[in-house]
Amino acid sequence: MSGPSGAGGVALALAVLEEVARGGPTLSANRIAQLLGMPRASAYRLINSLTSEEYLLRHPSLDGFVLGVRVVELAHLIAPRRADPVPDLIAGLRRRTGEAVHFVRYTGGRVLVVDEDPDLPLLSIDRTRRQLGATAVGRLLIAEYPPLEATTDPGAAKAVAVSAHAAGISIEERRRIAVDVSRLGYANCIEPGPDARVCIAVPVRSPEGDLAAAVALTVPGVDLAAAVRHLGAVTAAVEELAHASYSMGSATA
Amino acid sequence: MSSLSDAITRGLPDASLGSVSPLHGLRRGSVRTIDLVAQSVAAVAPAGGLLILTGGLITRTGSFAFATLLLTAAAVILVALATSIFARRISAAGGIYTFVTKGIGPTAGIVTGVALLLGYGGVSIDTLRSAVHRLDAAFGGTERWAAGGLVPTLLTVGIGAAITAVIALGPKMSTRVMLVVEAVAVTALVALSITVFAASGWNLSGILPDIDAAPSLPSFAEGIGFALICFVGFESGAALGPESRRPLASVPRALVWTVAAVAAVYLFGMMAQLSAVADGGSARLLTDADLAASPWLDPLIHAVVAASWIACTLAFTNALVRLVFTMAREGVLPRALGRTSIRYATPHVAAVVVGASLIVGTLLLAGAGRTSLYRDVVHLAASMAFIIAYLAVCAAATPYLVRIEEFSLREAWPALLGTLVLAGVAVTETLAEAGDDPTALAVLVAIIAVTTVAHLLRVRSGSGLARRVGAYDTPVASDAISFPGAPPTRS
Repeated sequence: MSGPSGAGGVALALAVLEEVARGGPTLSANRIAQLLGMPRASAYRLINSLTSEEYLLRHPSLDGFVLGVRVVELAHLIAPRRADPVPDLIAGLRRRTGEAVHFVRYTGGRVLVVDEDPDLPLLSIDRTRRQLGATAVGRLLIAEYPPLEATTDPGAAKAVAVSAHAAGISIEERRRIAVDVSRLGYANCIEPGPDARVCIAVPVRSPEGDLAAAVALTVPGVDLAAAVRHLGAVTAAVEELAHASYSMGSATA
Repeated sequence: MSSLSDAITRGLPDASLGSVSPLHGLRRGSVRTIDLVAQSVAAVAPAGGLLILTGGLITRTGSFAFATLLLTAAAVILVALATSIFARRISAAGGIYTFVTKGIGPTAGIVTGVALLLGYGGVSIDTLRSAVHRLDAAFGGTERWAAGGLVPTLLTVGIGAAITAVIALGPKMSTRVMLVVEAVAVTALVALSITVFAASGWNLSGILPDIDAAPSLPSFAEGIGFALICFVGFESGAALGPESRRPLASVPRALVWTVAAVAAVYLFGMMAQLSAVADGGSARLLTDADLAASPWLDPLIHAVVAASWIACTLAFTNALVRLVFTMAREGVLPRALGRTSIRYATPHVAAVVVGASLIVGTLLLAGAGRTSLYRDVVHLAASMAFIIAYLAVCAAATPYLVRIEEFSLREAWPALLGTLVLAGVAVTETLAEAGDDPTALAVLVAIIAVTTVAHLLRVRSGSGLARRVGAYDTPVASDAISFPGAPPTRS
């Protein structure tokens, strides 16, 4: 077979690699198809394509797959040739605010953590990706696809609906989050408990207005105002980021 | 960071995999897709097939000859697709033996394995004998071979030793030699077919079957069995999988390409010959009149066909060596046969032992004469063994897909249909053979049965053999990067 073609195919292939990286060698092809909500036959074809090109290897004793060293080559191949403006902008924002700043991208209704603050890491990457209601980054994504509303990306809307449902977020709550975010222009979240922290996430939008990424600022404690006081600095950084990414002709995502 | 980028950044080898593959010692990535095709095509020896196909099929099925070939080609394509189900997932020097073991377990596996040992051995011996016979004829010998003269004996030993050396020196060398030989032979025969086709006015009336003169079902099945023999060996490219680049992509491709290309050559060659028959000529590509008109043609044809048979012997011996090597690595055969040469990265011990057996077997065949049980068994093995192996691989594919939870009808249908077709062919062929030559059939069945029982006793004895059978080229720790949740390794 000729392999995946078009952006959809590449995105799916990367999603399969991501699931394997996350799930480890016990994840069967069938399970990967379920996790990605893909038809089984297409998932098997895609997985066989990835194994025949040795991006994935079949584990000899377990039922699943492992990442082949070729994904490292692939990573070098698709790494941006130009200097990526994102790391500098995020580092600058960390310096100016003195707080923890994370940068995420959104692809196909999923959260891709690109730059996690080393001083105050996310509570859990998996939680950030799956428990969409429990983080500011996830709430931005939920707000982008309000339930039962028309959207330009039905695939992403479905992925968000499935993740939200799996995390036990009701339709009512999704609507409430959407209203909140659209009123404020950003998302916020208070995480109580022993590792208490508050977080705001400001969306980075493509020229078409689609949610492409987010900059999140996290402050330890339960006082939301401690995070919101940096809103101006974060918004300025987001504008600069959108300008740098899109005026260069393409996003690095 | 995402788990994927995390895994890439860490770039640690995967500690859940072993540090060496069960087939370690072979050089991975040393042969290309073209070498796999060369191995498969040389084993099929389409030049030899084309020379006997039309005549053989017309004798058995009359006007249904073309239809029979078409059906057989379709059946072999089903087998190729069923084999590809495994080849897309497993890279095994044991080929169909390993696939069947992985699919439906050691019992069916060893039946297939023994059948293939006999089949590859039988064809190697028979084609080497034919090659020597042709060479003898090319240089003016007439029936000296039957008397077991000195020249044929020396030729057998010489060619056998050369084949052993080529295999021990490396797969690439052997496949390139085979590719050149087959390319010359097939090009010559296709050119000849075009000439015959044109001379007889491109008459296609012969390919349509005459419904009123339909052959009986047994003759029809016998015809399919006969035509099937002209395709055997296409699967042998899989044996070089562990030594090829991206075998899970290249092996299935090579198998399907080979079958499709060989089928095309056969169908075209047969159309040409049927056109000549319809035009009132002979069903042979070359008539005695042609040969009388060009006296240089006869030795030339003998030489080309001899070269094609030698390439065929080389290909089958190559596959046989890798099958023996796999079985030795598993512990089914003595471990010493599983050693590899450090310098050439080839299973050189297996090559020498198989090469010596080939020479002895061929000399015995020559000495045994035209009517001996040994000769009958060798000939039967060369056909029946492959029908067993092809049936087994078709039957094994669906259970395998179900077991690894990857069954989809879209992928499995050729295997399901192939099982039905091959089962039909196997039953009719067995019945025909039971009526025709029951002794040879009994010997063949007895060899397979005794070996299978002995093997199963060993597997059940708890010697660890049960774990080792089905050995293939597994990924090793350095082929993979560990996933972020894996326990950290510091080595």
